[in-house]
Amino acid sequence: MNAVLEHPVGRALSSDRSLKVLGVALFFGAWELLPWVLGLDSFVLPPPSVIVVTLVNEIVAGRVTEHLLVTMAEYGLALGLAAVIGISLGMLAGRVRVFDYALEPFVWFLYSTPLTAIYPLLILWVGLGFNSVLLIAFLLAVVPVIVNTTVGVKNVPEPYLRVGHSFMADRWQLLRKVVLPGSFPLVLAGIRLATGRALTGVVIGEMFGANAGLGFRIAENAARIRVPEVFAYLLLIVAFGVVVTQAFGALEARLLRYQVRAR
Amino acid sequence: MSETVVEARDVTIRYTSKNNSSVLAVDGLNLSIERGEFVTIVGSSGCGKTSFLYAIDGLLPIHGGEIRVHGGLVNGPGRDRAVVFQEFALLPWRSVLDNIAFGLEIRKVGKAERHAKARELVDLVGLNGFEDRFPHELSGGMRQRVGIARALAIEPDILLMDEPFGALDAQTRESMQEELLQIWQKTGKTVVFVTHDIDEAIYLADRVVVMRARPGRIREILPVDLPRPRTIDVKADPRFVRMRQHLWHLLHDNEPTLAAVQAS
Amino acid sequence: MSGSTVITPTAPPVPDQAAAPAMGARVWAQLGERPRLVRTASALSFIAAWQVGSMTGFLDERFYSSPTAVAAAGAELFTGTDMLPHVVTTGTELLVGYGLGVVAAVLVGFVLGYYRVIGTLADPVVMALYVTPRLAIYPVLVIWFGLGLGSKIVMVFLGTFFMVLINTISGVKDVDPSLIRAARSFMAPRSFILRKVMIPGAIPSIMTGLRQGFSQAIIAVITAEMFVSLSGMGNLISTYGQAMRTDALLFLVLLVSSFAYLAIRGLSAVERRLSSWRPS
Repeated sequence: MNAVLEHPVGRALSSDRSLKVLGVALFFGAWELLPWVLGLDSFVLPPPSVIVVTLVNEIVAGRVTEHLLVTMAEYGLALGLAAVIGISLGMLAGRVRVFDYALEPFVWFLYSTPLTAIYPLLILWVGLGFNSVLLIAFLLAVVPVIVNTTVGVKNVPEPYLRVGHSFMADRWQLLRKVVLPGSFPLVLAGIRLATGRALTGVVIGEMFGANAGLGFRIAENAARIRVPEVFAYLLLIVAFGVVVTQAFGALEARLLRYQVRAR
Repeated sequence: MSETVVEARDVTIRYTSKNNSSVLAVDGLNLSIERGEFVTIVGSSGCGKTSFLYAIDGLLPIHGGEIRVHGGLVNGPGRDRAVVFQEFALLPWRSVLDNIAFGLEIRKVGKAERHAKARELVDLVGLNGFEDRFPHELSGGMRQRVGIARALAIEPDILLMDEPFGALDAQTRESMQEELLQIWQKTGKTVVFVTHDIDEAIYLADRVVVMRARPGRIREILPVDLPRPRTIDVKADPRFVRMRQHLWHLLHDNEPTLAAVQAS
Repeated sequence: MSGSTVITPTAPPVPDQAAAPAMGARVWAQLGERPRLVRTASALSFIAAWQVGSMTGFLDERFYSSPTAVAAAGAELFTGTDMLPHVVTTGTELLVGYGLGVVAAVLVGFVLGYYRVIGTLADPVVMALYVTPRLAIYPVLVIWFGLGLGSKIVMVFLGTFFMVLINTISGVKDVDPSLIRAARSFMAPRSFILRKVMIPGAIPSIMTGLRQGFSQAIIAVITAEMFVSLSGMGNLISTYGQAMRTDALLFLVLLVSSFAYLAIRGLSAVERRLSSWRPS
């Protein structure tokens, strides 16, 4: 596991604000017209206007808040656990080679298995609902954190470690004051990937086996073939994803402000 | 009243090269350094000068002989020594002030106290106004000032400098040399300074230790009897010019000839 | 850089008088040089602990199965003919969806990466869809395209498309502009620049997309089939899950993940070969 998991979003972002706003407007405009052009009923392909109205109705009817809170709680907890446990395991693997090798088969299993496939088992083990959603989101999210932390720790530049030794840092100080901050950019890149994977985990978990959350509402409405409602919740999930990504990007920029701006 | 602070006897250092063969980096090196002395070690790449410097700090184990600092055997980095590293080696996520205070932080000195001490050193090396900057926002010369201040912050008796100005442009390098001499005179530290620049070696030193490579051995120790305080003008002094010539020949006679290279 | 940096004095020095390291320490150090051994031992001890746990009744076999039961279920599945049609279904969905996804994403990616204005226009929408769990749209796809192959192919397509797209765009954008300027200064025609500069320059990044896209495609097909389907590996997994056939389920999971592992390994090998000219 030498390859660093890279999140290409940062690199592909460009800056032209007004063009972007125009792009979003064009996208929704075209979508608005599409059902009309194709002659499709809004129950089949709802235009954005219908979706927004449906969403507002759902919110007013009090059918959203509770589920949004459940999703947020599951998401926050899963991501937090993935960060803490992933960084700890990754630090250990980065410093202790034997542990790194011993961990590899499990990391590879988690990385290459479509984890939804073991979801029926997870439900069997920890019960349907909050626990199983949390568990699958955690398992999805923890992998990139482990992998990136391991690589980050291994690649802390030699001179930094030398400085630590020369100034007589003990093991713990070396870890906290040199190794951890030295691997921070990669650790954060891992967590950035985890933000997306945790959301996937939460939503899929809720769709499959839960009785609350935005994913649950999607499955519930889809089962009754209420397409506008499904799209309303999809819109909410997209917004959730965008907000989380933006917030994390800002946090990352703040934490890594000591770095030279790339490009 | 001279007092020996660093005593190296028959020092041998080996390292394992990439193809797993053992290479003698330093072989049978003897050197003693007096309190307050400024000693430069000059030699070409691979002559073991950096290895020797690290061994004095205790960063690198030695495989034969002994190194004593203040009479005690070196078996690891100590409180009485500090290294100024090549290419600065500042921790990029720390501000100037926190980089300078690093050694004190490791010694668990309280925040207020270590920052006060760091501010004194900011003054000494002339970095006022840059305390909160990050290393990448500084020029090369300024970065190495931070490196020097970081080493001085823990109040070592001996300053070990590993080609500290090697990464600087010629002009900055000369002004840093002048400043270093001023700091040295102000603080009275013992300095061991590794370089591959002959001018630098003579200009700074009380004694120049010339090393040759493969295996790393001392070729000659040259006392520099130029008056102090020195300014850049000393480089035009005929004695300086003679010494430079002498050292140049010493170092270049050592270069393997084309025939030798082809034979090996 | 001076040649004196060849040494790597990070380890704290070992005092000369230190005796030979203890037996345990020596074994530990040797294990550090034997990745394969440690990996295998680690995986085997997990399996052994699992087996012992279920034999002693510490792990309830209904919930956790056991390695021998999984192996037996595997033998049963392989000798029977039940699995084959499911493999065919999943394979078809995977290949068609992935193939279409790759082709579409590379074409669109070149356009979005090459023409700055179009790229910027599309950027927020592409990013928003990229960071969103696309599997959430699957229920709608079922309504639109039915329970059969169609909805899965579209799902696989979407999973693949965005991964490959993002990587293609960033690959095209990152082609060294000085190379393009150089080609222009030789008055090379656009098609030449595209064929000889842009495509080779973007290939390593596209390959990364192909790898990441494939793992997305597998997740998409299995998840979609598990959600609603008539046949396929995901369908089979789901059926065994409902029947509490933990052994068969685990065997199928292992089968799918081994396939995914090998496929991803293969694609990374190709990726490394194709990007070997790049400085790492």
